Amino acid sequence: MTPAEVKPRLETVFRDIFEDPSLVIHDTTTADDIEAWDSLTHIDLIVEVERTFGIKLSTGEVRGLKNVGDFIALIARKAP
Amino acid sequence: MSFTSAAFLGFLGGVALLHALLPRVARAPLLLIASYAFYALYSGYYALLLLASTLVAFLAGRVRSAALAGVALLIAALVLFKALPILGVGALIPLGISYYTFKLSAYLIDRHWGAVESEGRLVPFLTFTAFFPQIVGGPIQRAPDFLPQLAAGSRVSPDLALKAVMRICLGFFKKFVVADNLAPIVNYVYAHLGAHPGAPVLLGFYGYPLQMYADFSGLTDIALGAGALVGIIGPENFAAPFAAPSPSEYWRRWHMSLTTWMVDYVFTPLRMALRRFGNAGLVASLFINMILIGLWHGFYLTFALFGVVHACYMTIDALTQKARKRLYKRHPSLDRLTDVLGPLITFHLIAVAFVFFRADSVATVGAFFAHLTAGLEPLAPAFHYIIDQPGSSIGVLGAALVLMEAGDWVRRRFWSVPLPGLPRWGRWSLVAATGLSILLTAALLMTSSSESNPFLYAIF
Repeated sequence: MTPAEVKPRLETVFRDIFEDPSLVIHDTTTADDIEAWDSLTHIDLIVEVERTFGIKLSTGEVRGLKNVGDFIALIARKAP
Repeated sequence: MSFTSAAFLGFLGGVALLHALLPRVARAPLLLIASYAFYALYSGYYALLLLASTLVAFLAGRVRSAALAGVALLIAALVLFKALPILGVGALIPLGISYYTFKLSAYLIDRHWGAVESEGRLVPFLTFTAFFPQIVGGPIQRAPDFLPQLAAGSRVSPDLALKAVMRICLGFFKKFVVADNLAPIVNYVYAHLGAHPGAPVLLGFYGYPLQMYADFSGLTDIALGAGALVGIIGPENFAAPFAAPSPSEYWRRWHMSLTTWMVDYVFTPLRMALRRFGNAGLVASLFINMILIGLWHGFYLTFALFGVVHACYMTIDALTQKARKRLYKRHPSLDRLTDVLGPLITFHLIAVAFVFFRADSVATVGAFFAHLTAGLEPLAPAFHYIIDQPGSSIGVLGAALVLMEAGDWVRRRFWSVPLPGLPRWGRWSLVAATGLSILLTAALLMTSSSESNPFLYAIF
């Protein structure tokens, strides 16, 4: 999957998890930019990403993410 | 050598002066020698343990597959030393072992995950672990944050030096004027539960969280100020914790270097491992995480229960979060009400948990709450008996609490940003204010005994 294909689907996941239909994500978006994105909702986000894209993520991969751009690149690399 | 002693200030001043005078390449070795000298004054044997622990982490970090074995060794040593007092062995817990074990473990777990490169230079790594401003009571800095600053060896700017000195003075003020004035009141209340009805016990209930904050954030202010004077900016530990609108938010503002460590290396891996179990996995992760935070302070039932109480708060907070958010969306006036009520309720919940933290046994916790609700009788006799305890003055204390909050506000506003461009008179006013703070600190040093009231968080 290409990053361009991942981004709109990931944005939908973000909107569902953070219950904000107007939320827009960018490569540079971090947890600091989204009020509800904390250590609790982070795993909800991971679970939903795994379900949506049919992939499995490890703790090490999740730990290495610095921003949404990293997240998109990781999903693009793993998604069929 | 206590942080709140003239000897420490002399030592720090000497190291800071040498740091400014020596060439860049000599600054890391200077900090290493100073850090081990500081530690060896406390205990030569335990300095060897610090060295051995660091070497274990350094070598284990070279080979990624050995990183977790290194963590196991370090945690085993920590658990052993923490268990000695309850096994009846009268050995001292090595100074700062909880802090340096966590620093080294973070590096090794990140190595295991491939999140950091192996550190190949021994001198910076030894300095990272033993760094004297952080060895007594943290904060727990991460290697990728510390090592580049050490390698840069930057000269400390006059602005930063000024702010660092002010911050150290603020730490002294919090410790000597606020914490050490609250301590006799709190100690008296806990030592005489049952002798007085509810009202004085209430003083202990409100006094202890404030004492703990003044004491621990004062220690952190001195640590961060001292670090800045030798070119290292450490992580913050506090961000107005008692203004937190919820227990979860409180933990994002209290002892932040420990809680972010726990989130990264305990909570997130647990949540990931248990993510298939939905809310049950979330609750289990919260309980394990919070109980471990409690036990990090020592292997006592009261510390474990402190963790359980907080886990209950956070579970309720987490499980009702979405429903509350929807409710507030439908009723914005309720949202505004919680802006005021949230911090108030949260502070009281935190204060309840602190009773478990302060009490020496579960029976004491029971006695505390039994007497807290024994009736708010007229205050005068019992209250005066308590506030007339030597070493505490309620008037000074009230003013000091306000000054502490003002000092913290200024600190949060200006610490990590360059000082605004000031006219010459403004700059001189700042220098004069720093000079006055130094004089006040000197007066406090002369009138207060630092050895009889050690920092509460210097024993973990």
